[in-house]
Amino acid sequence: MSRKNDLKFGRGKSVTLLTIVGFIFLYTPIIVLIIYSFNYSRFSSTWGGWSLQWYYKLFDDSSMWLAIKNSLLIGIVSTIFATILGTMSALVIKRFVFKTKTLFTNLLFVPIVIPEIVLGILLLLLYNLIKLELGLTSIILAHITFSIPFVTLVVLNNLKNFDSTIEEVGMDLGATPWQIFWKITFPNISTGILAGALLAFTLSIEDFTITFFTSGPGATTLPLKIYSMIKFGITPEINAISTLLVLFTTIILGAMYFILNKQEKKILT
Amino acid sequence: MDTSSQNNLLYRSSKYYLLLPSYFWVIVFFILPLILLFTISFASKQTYGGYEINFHLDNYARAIDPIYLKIAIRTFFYSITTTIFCFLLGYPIAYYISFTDGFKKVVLMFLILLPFWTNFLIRVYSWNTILGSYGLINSSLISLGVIDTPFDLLNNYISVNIGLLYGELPYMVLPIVASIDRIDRSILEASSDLGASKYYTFFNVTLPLSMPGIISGVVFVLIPTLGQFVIPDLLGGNDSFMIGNIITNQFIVVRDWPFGSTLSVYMMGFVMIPLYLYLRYSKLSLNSVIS
Amino acid sequence: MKIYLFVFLLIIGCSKKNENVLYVYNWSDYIDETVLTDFEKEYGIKIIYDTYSSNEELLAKLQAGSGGYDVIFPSDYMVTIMAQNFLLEELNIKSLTNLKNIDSLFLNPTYDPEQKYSIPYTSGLTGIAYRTDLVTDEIDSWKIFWNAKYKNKIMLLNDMREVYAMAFKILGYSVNDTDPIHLAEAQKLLIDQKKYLKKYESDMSKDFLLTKEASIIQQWVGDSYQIMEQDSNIAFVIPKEGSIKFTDNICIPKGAKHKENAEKFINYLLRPDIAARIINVISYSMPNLAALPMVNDEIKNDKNIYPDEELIKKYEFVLDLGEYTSTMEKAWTELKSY
Repeated sequence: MSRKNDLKFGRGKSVTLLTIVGFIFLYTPIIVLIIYSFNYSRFSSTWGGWSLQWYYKLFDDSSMWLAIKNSLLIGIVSTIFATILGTMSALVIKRFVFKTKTLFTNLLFVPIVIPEIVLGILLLLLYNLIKLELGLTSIILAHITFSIPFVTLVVLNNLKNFDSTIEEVGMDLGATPWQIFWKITFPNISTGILAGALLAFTLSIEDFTITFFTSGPGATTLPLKIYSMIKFGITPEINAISTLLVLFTTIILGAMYFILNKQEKKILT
Repeated sequence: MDTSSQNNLLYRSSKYYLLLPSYFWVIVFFILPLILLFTISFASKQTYGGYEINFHLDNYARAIDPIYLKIAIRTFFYSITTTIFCFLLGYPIAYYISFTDGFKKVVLMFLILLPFWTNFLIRVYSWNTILGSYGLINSSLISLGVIDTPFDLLNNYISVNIGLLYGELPYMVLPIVASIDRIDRSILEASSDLGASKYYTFFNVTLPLSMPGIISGVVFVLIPTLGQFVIPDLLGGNDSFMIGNIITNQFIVVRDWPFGSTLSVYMMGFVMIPLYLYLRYSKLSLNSVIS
Repeated sequence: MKIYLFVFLLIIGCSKKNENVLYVYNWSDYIDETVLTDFEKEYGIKIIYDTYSSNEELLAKLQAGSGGYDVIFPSDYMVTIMAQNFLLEELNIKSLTNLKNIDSLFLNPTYDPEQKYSIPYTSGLTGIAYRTDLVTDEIDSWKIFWNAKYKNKIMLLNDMREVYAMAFKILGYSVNDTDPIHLAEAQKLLIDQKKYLKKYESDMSKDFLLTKEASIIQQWVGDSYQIMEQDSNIAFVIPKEGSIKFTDNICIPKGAKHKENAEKFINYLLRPDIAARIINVISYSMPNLAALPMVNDEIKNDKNIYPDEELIKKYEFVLDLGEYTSTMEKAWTELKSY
């Protein structure tokens, strides 16, 4: 077993070196960010001693809480719809052959290969045409639009391992399509659906470009709030919220790992 | 009809129930706006913004004026450079991670995913602290006596390209890791058993087999970078605007929607045409490239 | 199934329109935040506050369909443009009992002769803010921005009218010049300036001056004074050629959903104590005579903030240029792309 990772085709010195350089490159800004969130001085050019004042300020900032609330609301709603539509698309692509199948598949996935700015502008033009006021709804619709392809992709991947003959057996035994979906298909692809939903949620929380073009008054999301904080006055409050986000992400990833690990262990025993 | 063939029929017709909502969504939220984009690109701007529908090619001619072409070329250049550097740095990282085992691998994957999941803007903004005239790099170099006056590292093409590389690196690493992971290790073993040196194995076995991952990585770095505008906006200066900034400006400030639409059409064409040709040539479908 | 219903209801509940809310869209750093919290406490109305950095951005936002704002702060010429394009609500002047505090000189201005759409908020001038510890020359003219010594340490406002006004004044023309030949001259001058320019930036330039990324910036008077308070090495000067003077106004966009709340807010801002508090924080003058006694002496007596006749003569109001605006905007887009 250990032969597989022999130095023969594994990691030579240059690969290891580049990897270390890469990780230093990736993490220096993040570490700097975290350290300066505790800087008493407002400016990163001077160090004023350790302080938690920016965290306190953050806590008091009501527009920040509004942004967080908006991001979560948009994230949850868009994830629900994107997951449903994405799963449906994946099922159709896997199960059936139909006339416009390649067209449909390509159309479905094009939104993720074009630059986000184009998609943002497309939606802005649409909303302007149908006179939809920019706000939470316009953002949610936009997020669903770019999340559907990703969910479809993840679920499709998962469906590859799913042998649909078991569905046919179910049909022969007289189950309705709905029963087949819930009792047979769903349990088997639930990890895929969950992964897809998680991906959709992450994309929504993170998104800046598309939200930038489709948001309106009072519908600021966390990325937009951070952008305006950067533009309109650099304070370590930004560092503070960044540190908290890093912490939050670490916890989520860690939790996911433990849950997945437990699931695996369950299956093995 | 008995229940099972009734159900069979229902099952087969479920095709339409499953298909229609997504089709509808794609048409309304993508095809329709696309048509709108084309229409507006031929329209004219009204005095204070807004557009009136008529048909003329002025915007298309204006967009290829040398001034804008210069920016387009610069954008393309930045994107290519970023992609190349992402690959040069990202492939070794992916290679290293893929050939790691057990918990260490989990930790490394976590370390790659964390920036990916941390807010993009924050990661870009943090370069301000590092690259500023009195930021980390310059302060340390000055206090060590290496230089007298600070290097001009911020608000120019240097900071923009660093920012681009930084933002896109995880998107190159992740697909390649997945791709190398899928390579059957016994093939590599067989290669070395047959006497190949590790370089030979790498260039003739590993690298070609990881091609799908590389292509995904390239697609996910090159294309988004072409449309970037936040990084030049926050980290860039006069010499480093990208076409995304010009387009954003048309919609957010100058209110010349027709011209902005024309530029967007050009951008889409620039991205889609090579992609289409590539897919045609290699007979792949879009989703296989992405997955 | 039940879960979806529950989530659906939750969403509906969360998005129910709150009647006691006010959406304000203002320039950045243009108010005293404590004034907002006091308003919320006194009237029980929650304020949601967004900011922008140019009149054009404000216009673009309103045109793009962000109809959700209740209070906006356009500059003089922008009031004319918006009124012409039916983007403003007519104000219920009778409900603004504190209007009497405003200097009558500022009422019924050329950009709103019947005082139908706007209430004057602040007045100011554009000048040059710079670091005394990094600049060795005397600054008295816009031409300093063409000085090679300060290459890459210069920032201009990311504002079309401001930048062209500066060029026009150097060439001896009016800021409202509509001669394409003059525009071409100005363009040539500005393209030449780009050699020394670090960035066109309105928002972050103040911070860049503070962190020494920039040494000289084009900046509005009040914003400059705000950072002067934070660093004694920063100074402000009015260039001899003059430039733009502006009056920013409070308006209610058409279709605002909380018009009554907006009027209460406007009336609140006109109170002498409130106005004085704002002036003392943002360092801009207001035509609010009743507030004057409560304004700090350093601000009251500063000729840059409360300029005298002599100074005002060199400055001009920006006027709407109608069709010509498009010509200028094209030139601006080109200038930024060079």
